Amino acid sequence: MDSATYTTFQVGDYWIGMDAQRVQEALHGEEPTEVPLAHPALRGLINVRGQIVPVVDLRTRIGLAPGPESSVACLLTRTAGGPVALAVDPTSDLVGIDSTTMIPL
Amino acid sequence: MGEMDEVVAEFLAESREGLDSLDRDFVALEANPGDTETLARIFRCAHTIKGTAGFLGFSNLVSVTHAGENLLSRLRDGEVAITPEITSALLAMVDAVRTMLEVAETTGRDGEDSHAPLIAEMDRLSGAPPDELPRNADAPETALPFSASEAHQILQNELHGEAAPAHEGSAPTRRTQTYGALEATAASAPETIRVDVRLIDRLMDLAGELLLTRNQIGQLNARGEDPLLAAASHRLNLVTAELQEGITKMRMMPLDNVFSKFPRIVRDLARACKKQVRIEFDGRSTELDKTLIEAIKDPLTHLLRNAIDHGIELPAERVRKGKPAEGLLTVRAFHEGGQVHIHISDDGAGIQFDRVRSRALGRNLVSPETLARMSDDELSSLIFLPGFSTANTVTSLSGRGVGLDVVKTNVERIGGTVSVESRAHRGTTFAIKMPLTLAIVPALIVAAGRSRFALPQVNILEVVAYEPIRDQQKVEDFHGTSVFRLRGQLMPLVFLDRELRPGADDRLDADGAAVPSGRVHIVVVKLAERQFGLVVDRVLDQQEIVVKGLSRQAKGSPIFSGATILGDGRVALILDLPALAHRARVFGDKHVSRPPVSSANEPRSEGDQVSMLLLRSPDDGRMALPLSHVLRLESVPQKAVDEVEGHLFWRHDEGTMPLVSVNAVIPERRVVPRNELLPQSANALLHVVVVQKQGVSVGLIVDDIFEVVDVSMRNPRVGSRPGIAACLVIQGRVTELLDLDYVLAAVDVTPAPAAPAGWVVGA
Repeated sequence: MDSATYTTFQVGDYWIGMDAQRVQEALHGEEPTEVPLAHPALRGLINVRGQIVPVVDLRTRIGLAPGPESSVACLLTRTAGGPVALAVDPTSDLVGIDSTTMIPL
Repeated sequence: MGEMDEVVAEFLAESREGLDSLDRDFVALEANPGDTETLARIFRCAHTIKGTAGFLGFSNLVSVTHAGENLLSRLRDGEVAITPEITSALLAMVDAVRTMLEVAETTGRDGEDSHAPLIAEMDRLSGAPPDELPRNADAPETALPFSASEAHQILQNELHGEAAPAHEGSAPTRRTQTYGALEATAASAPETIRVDVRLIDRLMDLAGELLLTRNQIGQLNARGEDPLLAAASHRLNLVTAELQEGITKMRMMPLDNVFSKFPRIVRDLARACKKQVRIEFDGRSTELDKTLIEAIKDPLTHLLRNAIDHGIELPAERVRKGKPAEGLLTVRAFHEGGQVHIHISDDGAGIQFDRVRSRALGRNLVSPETLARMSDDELSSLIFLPGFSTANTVTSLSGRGVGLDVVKTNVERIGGTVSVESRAHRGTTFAIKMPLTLAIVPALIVAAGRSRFALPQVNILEVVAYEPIRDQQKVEDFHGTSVFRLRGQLMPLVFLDRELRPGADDRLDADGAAVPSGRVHIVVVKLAERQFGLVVDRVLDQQEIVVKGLSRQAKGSPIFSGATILGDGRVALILDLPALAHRARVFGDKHVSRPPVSSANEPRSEGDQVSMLLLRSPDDGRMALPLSHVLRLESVPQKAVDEVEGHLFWRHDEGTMPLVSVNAVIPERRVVPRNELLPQSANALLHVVVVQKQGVSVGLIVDDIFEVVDVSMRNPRVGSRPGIAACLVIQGRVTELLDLDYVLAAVDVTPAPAAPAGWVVGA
């Protein structure tokens, strides 16, 4: 396995890691604008420096019950379809880990 | 290798333009074989592509263009006459080159396909045996198997510097740097520079952000505290408006960009259908925003195909009808009323209405009764229904199961409309209307629940404030649907927060119809020919917004067409009003572009269901009146009613309305003496159903109004007495259908000459 850096964060009881190269920054504070009638995992839309970015609620996406609304921290990530913000638990610590310490499932 | 990449990219871009002009030129040449200038241009272009292709090592490209060049030089020298076969082969060469360019763009090589069959065909047509390729790109002429006399002729021309256009093409071959020759093809464009589209998009974004900041400053300035700020804000407004206008103009492109591809398409399609068609244009320079140009390409192309495939007749048939064998397609574009109009007309057979009828019936798209009542115009709109295609044989070009409904959907998606007019044997015209630009639109910002939304101003007629106490009468409740009365016109209501949060509404009345509780605003929306009222909590602001697309994730939401950033930096969604209307079933399920007009005594039907207003008859029986005849309902105070010579009138703010008491007109009821026309209590409120006679409103006084039901018109029984048109069983009870003409017969609707005695005028 190549050496790569992963950013990890917390969602519910799970720690999840993501390729650090795709994580751009952490965003705080702004309440996303809801999009009625959209996919339930779409938390809403936020304004990031003039660009409208969708916020995906990771908890819903992986099948957990949604967390309390007031707690929204977002990780801005790059995807092929443009930037996407992932809503994660605000208590997450972003921990970089080296893939060489990973154990395959 | 970076520089080489740039050279390749440049080559690709230039070549593409060259290929587009080749398309046009070949078609023009076919029509005008003697046009040596066009032929020379074609030759130059092909030669240039070949030259640079050689320089870059694209050997397949060189082979193909070389064979094409052979053929072209034969044409140029008059040794071969142009035929449709030759034109087709040359056009096929253009396509092959395009394909190879595409491959080159992604892989850096010109692909594996040597296009040998095409080359062989071109060689065959040029009548020369396949010859060897020249060893270098510099002097291909010398490798051709010219006869001695031909070679001599060429040398002569060279020596004498013959300026004959047919030979001009040979001059560049003598030059070594064919890359330099690429400039020749681009030289004709005056005073323009080529700009990366992404850069323009970026400028557009920046202009949008400037707009937002301007809005913010506007909000700060609105407090009116600082005169210096006011002046600067004003100046900022002006500059931003001009900048925005300039950038919008930058993105405008002439429609010719789309039209220029049409001659070739028309030619190919006509040949495939064995028809003769020519195309003419008017207004090629009409401009449209780049994104809209992209979006309109497919619908227009499809309409062209439709016209050639179905509209224009075969030559023999045309001649038989006294028309020229060659059909004419006219594409006309112009600006009007802030919109761009594009008309595609053919002089073909027109829409075959009986085919449309049988197809509509056969596909169960409309009921026989409705069909029988439709005018030709209404029939025309049927062709836009999904699943409707009168193609008997599906040609590979236009009948891929893609119907005119797709054209309509695509045009509407960009905010446009499409309509059709047709005359039998004369032809058909499709008319498309589109907004000039999408990116920055004026919008109305409203609030519903906790959220704010933007409504595009283009669909909004007006905004009406609704106060529950004052305006309660104006909201009627028809069988679970709320309707609103505005200046005499009834329109359905859509409650925005109800649509957004289905099932989560608590403001319903006993019938389940939504009723506004607090003070709200009703936005009157106009779509095509119909109107509805959108109920929102507050109207916040009118401003220009920058339209940003919805990301893929949010696209699933059906009623939003985009998003924008408001003055305070928060995101607001832009409502797609047609989609909202469709979703709320405001205009019913059947998708007809214009409502059929019903005559006075015929009930309007969707299928065989008719909406009826149920009324109480004095002996506790039931009467019914088709809802389509009802303008509105009124509660009229007794004391506002006067009787003059046996006629009743309602005196109201805007004039008087003749009234008829239904009970008095229908005979054989429990007899009500004439002087007891009016109920006893002076404070009573009369139930009045307002209908029309010859354009004049007349009120029918009835005992009670029950509700609106949809009724099947099957098996009506003939009415048993005058004034009754039929008897139906509704909700298990025999119900008499009023004959409106009879009931209104005694009402005189000629304008009153002077106030008769006994009137109280004014007050």
